[in-house]
Amino acid sequence: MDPITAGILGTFILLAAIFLLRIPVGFAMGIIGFAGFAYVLNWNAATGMLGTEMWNVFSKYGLTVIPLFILMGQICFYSGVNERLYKSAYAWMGEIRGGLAMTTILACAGFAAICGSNSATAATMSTVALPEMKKFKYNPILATGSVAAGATLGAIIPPSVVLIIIGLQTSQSIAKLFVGGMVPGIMLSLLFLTTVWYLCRKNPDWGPAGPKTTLREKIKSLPGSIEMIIIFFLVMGGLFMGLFTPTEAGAAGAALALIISLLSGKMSWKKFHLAVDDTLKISCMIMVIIFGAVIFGRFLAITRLPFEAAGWVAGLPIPPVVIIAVICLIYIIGGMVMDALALLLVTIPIFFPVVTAMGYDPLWFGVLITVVTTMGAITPPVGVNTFIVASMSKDVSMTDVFKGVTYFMIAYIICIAILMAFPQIVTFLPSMM
Amino acid sequence: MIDTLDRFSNAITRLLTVLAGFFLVAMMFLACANMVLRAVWKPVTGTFELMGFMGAVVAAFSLAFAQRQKSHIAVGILLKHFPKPVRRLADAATSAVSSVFFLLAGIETWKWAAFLVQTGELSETLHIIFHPFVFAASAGCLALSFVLIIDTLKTLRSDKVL
Repeated sequence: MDPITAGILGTFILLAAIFLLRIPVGFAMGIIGFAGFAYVLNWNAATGMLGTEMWNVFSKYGLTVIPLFILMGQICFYSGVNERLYKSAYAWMGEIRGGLAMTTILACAGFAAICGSNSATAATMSTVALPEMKKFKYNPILATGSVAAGATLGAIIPPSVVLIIIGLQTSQSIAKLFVGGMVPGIMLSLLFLTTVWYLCRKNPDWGPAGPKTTLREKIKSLPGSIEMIIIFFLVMGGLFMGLFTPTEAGAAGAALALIISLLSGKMSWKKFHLAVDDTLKISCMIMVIIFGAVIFGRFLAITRLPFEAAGWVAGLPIPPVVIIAVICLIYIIGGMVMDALALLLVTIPIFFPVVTAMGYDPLWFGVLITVVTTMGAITPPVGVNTFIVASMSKDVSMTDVFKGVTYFMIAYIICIAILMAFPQIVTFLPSMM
Repeated sequence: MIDTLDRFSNAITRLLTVLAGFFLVAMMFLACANMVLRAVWKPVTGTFELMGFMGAVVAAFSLAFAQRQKSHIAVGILLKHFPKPVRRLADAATSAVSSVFFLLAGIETWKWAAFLVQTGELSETLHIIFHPFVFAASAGCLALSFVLIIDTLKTLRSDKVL
């Protein structure tokens, strides 16, 4: 068997293993990559590569950014930042029709700005927002849809773990990717708010207006969002101005979150312990996928499959935009059945050379596929966020949650179309750095 | 027998998790100290190197914990359509193969660490020995392999299949 055929076969075996077996994605990539490497070269080369790659991946300074950013998000989560953010947004938005759903979207966007994870944002905001919306007789379709969709902003609005991984895997500046993700994140938030407004205009009983709040109450609620603003500006400001590396930004954000939560009496030893435990679990899960992706990437590299595929696709007599659209479609379908991060790590070694060979801006592509795969978190049958929200709202059926998120998918599609039509939305701010 | 092994694996996992947590917090403080000292005096020499070493220990020592907590992302959407015995066999087989893979990774990393001891290799910036960190990474892989073996045995013994 020639190496390219071995590469194609290896990729198919990987996909079959992932979908047929309950094997962790990182394990599957590592095992199949290792076996493929041994087949194409030899056993000794494969075992030698395994030992050194394990150490190289785990000890890479660039990857230390992952646990530190996750720690920052977990400290914020356990110190109850989400609750205070929600109250603050509620004071400003609660009194208008659909205001609680809008509050949820805004609080999700705010929490996303300090926590880079979809599922953490979904779990957090479900506990805070769903009981409130139930109290004010919001339609469960709108309530659960807004939480599940709003939580996806966690992966787009920086700092985002997904953007960090893309940056590391494609050797791009994480700071630039963060800055590039800001405008699409804000744009998507606005599209979500418009969706809520439209739904409540069409169905006024879906989101009844909450009690009025005075200007005094509104201003009084602002300190609830101050810590989020401070942490966000420290992290993003420092990165934007080049004051520190992404790893240092994560460390500074985590330390600041810890100091603020300790000073405000919101952090106990038990909560800190839980935050560290969760950080270890999540970051280890990511590191294992990265390790597996590196091993699988080594196998693909020796088969020359990505480069041959890139050359072949770039030479096809069809417009590049069609190829990008097909890639997006693959990511949307993949995102429906697979976690965004795992999907990106499996596919980037194949698609990234193709896209760069066609002359597209890698930064734009990184942000675009983040948005596209993140949509997968709310699409059936494996939309992670929908499952989390459904499990948190016992009296709402899974079908209703999926119905709710469908409205927000339209917002996603509009956002993706805008990003494809106007790449400058992503590239303008990073070009100023 | 399996219960005793399970308790032993739990004890090892807890110990490694505590150490991983310690190194994680140490990383946060070291990075902050470096930033502050760089601004007011001079940077802490070898910060990048130490962060990498500690990061390796954090990742490796969390491997067993993440596996025991079933935190790793798996898809397997087609498996649920198969009969129970097939699902049990598939789960046991994947755990067993994964265990062998991480055993191999652990052994190879151990060999790499032993080679560093033999050659007396020092780190680039601080010129310190760094093989203890490599041994630690290897130990993390071996612990994960052990947890996966217990998982295989538990899957084969248990009446419940997911």
